[in-house]
Amino acid sequence: MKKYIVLSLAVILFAGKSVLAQDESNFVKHTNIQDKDKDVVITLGTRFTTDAAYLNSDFSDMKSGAKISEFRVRTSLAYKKWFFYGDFDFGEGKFTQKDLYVKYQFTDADNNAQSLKIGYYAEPFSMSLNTSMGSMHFITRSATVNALGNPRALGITYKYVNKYIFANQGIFAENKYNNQIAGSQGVAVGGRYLGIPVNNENLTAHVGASVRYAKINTGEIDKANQILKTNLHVATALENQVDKNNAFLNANIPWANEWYKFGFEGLVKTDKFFARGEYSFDKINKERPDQKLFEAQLGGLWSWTTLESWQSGNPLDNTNFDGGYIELGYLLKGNKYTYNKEDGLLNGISDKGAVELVARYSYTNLNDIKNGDVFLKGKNKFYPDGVITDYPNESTSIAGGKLHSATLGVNYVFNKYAKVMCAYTYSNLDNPYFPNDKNFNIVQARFMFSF
Amino acid sequence: MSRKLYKLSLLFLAIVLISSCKREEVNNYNVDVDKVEIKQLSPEMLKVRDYVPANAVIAHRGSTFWTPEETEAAYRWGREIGADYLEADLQVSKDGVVLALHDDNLKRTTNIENVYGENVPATRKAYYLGLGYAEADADKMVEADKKNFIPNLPSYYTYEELMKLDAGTWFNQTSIEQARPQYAAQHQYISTLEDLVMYARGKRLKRDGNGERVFTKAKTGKKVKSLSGEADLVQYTFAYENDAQDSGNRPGIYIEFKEPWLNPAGFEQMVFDELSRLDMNIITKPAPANEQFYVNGKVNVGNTNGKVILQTFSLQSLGKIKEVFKGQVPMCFLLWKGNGATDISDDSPEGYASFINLGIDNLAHIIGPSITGAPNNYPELLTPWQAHLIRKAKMAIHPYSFDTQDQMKKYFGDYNYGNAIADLTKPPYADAMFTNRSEMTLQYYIDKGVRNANAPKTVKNPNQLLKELGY
Repeated sequence: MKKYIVLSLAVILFAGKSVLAQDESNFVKHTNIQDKDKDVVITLGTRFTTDAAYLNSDFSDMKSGAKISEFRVRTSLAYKKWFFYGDFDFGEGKFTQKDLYVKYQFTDADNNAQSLKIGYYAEPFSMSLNTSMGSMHFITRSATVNALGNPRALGITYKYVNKYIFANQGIFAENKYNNQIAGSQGVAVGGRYLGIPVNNENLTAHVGASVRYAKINTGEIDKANQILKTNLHVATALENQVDKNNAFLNANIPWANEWYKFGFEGLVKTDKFFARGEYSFDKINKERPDQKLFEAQLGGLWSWTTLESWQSGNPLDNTNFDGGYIELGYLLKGNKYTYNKEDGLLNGISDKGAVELVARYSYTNLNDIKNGDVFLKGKNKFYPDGVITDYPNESTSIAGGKLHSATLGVNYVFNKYAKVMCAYTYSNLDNPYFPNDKNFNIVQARFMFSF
Repeated sequence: MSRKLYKLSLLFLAIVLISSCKREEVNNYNVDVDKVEIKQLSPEMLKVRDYVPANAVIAHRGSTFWTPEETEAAYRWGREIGADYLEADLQVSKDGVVLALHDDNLKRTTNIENVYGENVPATRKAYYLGLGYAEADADKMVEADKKNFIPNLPSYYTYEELMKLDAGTWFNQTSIEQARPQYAAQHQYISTLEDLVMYARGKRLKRDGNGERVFTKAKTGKKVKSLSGEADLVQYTFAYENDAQDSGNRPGIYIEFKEPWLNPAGFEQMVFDELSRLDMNIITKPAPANEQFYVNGKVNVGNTNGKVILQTFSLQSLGKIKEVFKGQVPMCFLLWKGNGATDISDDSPEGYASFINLGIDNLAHIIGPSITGAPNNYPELLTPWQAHLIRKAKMAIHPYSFDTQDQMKKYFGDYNYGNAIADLTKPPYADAMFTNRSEMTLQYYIDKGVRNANAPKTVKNPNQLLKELGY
C-alpha cells in the first residue's frame, strides 16, 4: 500500500512540474495507477478552462477580456470501500482550496448505497452547486445559485440512495480555516432529499427539496463597545467568468444570526432533452445587543433618551431573499443525456462530436425593500415611509439587486478531453444603487480541457 | 458536420476575443452625465426662476470679510457696496423672533460666555414678570427653564436676552486687519429677519442716547414651541430710522432655512407670515411685473418679484418649504458633500442627478453647490459636468462661497479659454455668486461687461465705504 501512496505523491509532484512547463508541452497526462490486486486505484487529473467574454452595460464600464478561469489538479485514491479525493485550483493566479474529502461507501442488506463523507466539499443543498464545473451545460451556474448557494464547507454527511429515494444530509462548520476576525464558528445543518419516481434508460425524473439552517457566530468586534457584530455577505457576479465584479448583486446583512434556506428542485431527462430547475427561499433572522448599543451612545447632547426610543429609531427586521432558475437542453448530436443516480445529478456531455443547444432563465432577488421606503441615490440611503428627511429612522430595507437573466448557448465536444461552449446572456437588473445599469449583454466562450 | 462545428466554434471564439479586446470607455463622468435621468423645471417654475437677475451678487452674511457677519454693519455695507442680495440664516429665539443668525452655538460670534456663562440668564424672572406673570408663576417657569436648558443654543434665549449680547467685538479679535473700533464701541446686535428687511430698505436701527436699539414688546397670547419647550410668542416692535448713508440701493434678501429640528414646528409658515407682514411675500403681495432689477444705476431687486430667495441644505426643510411656498418664490437647494444628515454623499452623476431631481420634485429653482478654493477649501460640487447636469434641468446655479478672483474666473469659465469640454454645456457655471467679497465680485462682473446696463457701474472702495458708514 505504502509504495502506492509514495508513487501517487511522486505523480503529483511530476504533474506540478508539468504544469510549470505547460506552454511547451502537452497538458498533464491523465494517470491511473492500480496495484496488482486492483483494490487500490489512484487517479490524477487536470482541468484547464479558459474563458473569453465581451460584456456591455447601459452605464457602468465592464471588464471584457479573456482569462484562465481554472487550472485544477485533482487526485483520487480508491481502496476497497474507501475513497479519497483532493482537488486544487490554481486558476486566476491563485491557489484555491477545492474538494478535499474521504468517503466510506457501503451497501445495506437491500443493496442500497450509503456513504459517510468527511472533509471539504459542496454542502448537500443545490443541484447546481453539487454539479462539477466539468459536467455543466452552461459556462456558469445561474446567478441565483452563486448568490444564495453554499458552495463548499468543512463537514460530514451521510448519504442514502435507493431506487426511488436520495437523501443526503450533514453538518458543517462556518469557516473552513477558523480564520474569522472574531467569534467562535457557527454551524450549519442541511440536507437534500429527492424522490426519483422514474429512472430508466430513456427517461428520468426527480423532484426534491433542500433545507439548511445556519447559525452565524463570526464577525467583527466593535472595539469601542466590545460588541461582536455579525454580518452575512451575499453576492455574485453576473453570469460570466471574466468580469467577477459582484457589485451589482451584493448585499450585506448586518446582525445576521440565523439563516434558513428552503430549496425545491425538479429534473426531467430523456435521451435528447433535459429540463431542470431550482427555487430557493432564504430567511435571515437577526440579533443585536440593543442594550449595549443604547448605553454606548449615551452621554451626548442629542443622545436617545430611552432604549425604546433608540429601538424605534433603529429598528431591526428579518431579511428575505429568493431566486430560481430553469434550464433546458437539447442534444443535437451525440449519444444521449445520462443521469448520475448516486448524486442525483445530470451528467455532462463528453461524446466525441456531441453538440447541444441549451437555454436558461434565472431570477435572483436580493432586494428586500420594505413597503413605502424610498431610496435617494445621492445619499445611497433608504428613507422609511416615503419621506426624505434629515434624520430618518434607520430603514430595514436591503437592496442587493434583483436580476433576471436569459441565456442561449451551444456546446460542442471535440472529444472526451476537450469541449467548447459559447453563449449569449441578456440580464436585466433592478438595483437602486445602480439606477442606470438596467440592461447587460454578455457574449462569452469557453475552452475546457480535462485529462 | 464536426469540422464545420469546429470551425464555427473557432470563429465564435475569435469574435468574442476580438470584441472583448475592444477598448471600452472607462466610466467617464463627462460622458456618463448624459446617460442619467434628469428632470426639468416646468414652464411655471422657469418663470419664477427668472425672477432673479442674472449674474447676481449675493452678499454672504452681509460681509464676513469686512464686518462682523449678519450684523447691522454687515448688511449696511452689503447694501451700499451694491450687492443684489443680502444673505442670512434663519433661526428663532425662545419667544418666537425670527433671527438672521448662522451659528447654532452663540460662542463664536458673541460674548455669551462673559454675559451668561452656561446658566439661564438671571434676568429671566424679570422677563416673565414683564410679560405679566405673577411672581410665583415666574419662579416656576424659571425653574422649568433651568431643568431643560442647553446653553449657547439661540432658541433657549429670548430675543431680549439675545439683545444683551455683543455680536461685534469678536470680529476685531479674529480679523485683526479688518478690525474697527466702532464694531465694539457701537453695539452690534444679533439681527432679526425684520432688521434684515429694513437694512435692505435703506433703514438703520434707531438707537437711544446710550446707543441701544429702541423697541417695545408685548405678549401676543399665542405660544411658540421650540427646542426649549413652549413659550409665549412675544411681539417686538423695533424702531428704525432712515439711514443717512443710504444711496438708494434696494437689494433683495436671500434667507436660509436650517434643519427643522432646530426651529419650532411650523417655522416655514412663521417665516411666510413674517414676510407677509413685512411686505416681502410676493405670494400675498406680488411686485409690479414691470419692476426692473436696476433703476438709474441703483440696485432695485428688493422691489421686484425676486426680492426674496429661499435656500436650504435640509432635505426636510425642502419639503416643508414646498408645502408652504408652493414653488412661487425662488428657492435654492444648497449642496454640500459629506456624510452629514443633509449632505450629498455620492457625487457621481447618478447621485448628483438624484439631488437635482429631489430639488425639482420639491419645487426648487436653483442649485447652490459648494466650490473649492482657498481660503475655505470647500468640497468641489461644481465641476463642468455637474454644471452641465444643472443646466440640463434648466435650474439656475448659485455657487458658494467666493473669496478670490481666481475662483470667479474658474467658475465663470475664463480658464476654459473658449475650449469645450466634451459635449458639456459651455460656461459660465454660475448665474450668481455667494460672495464674501462683494466688492471683488461686483468689479469682476463689471469688468466682464455682464452686469445689466442699468446696474451700478462702479464699486466703492470698501474701506472708504466703511468710514462713510461710520465704522
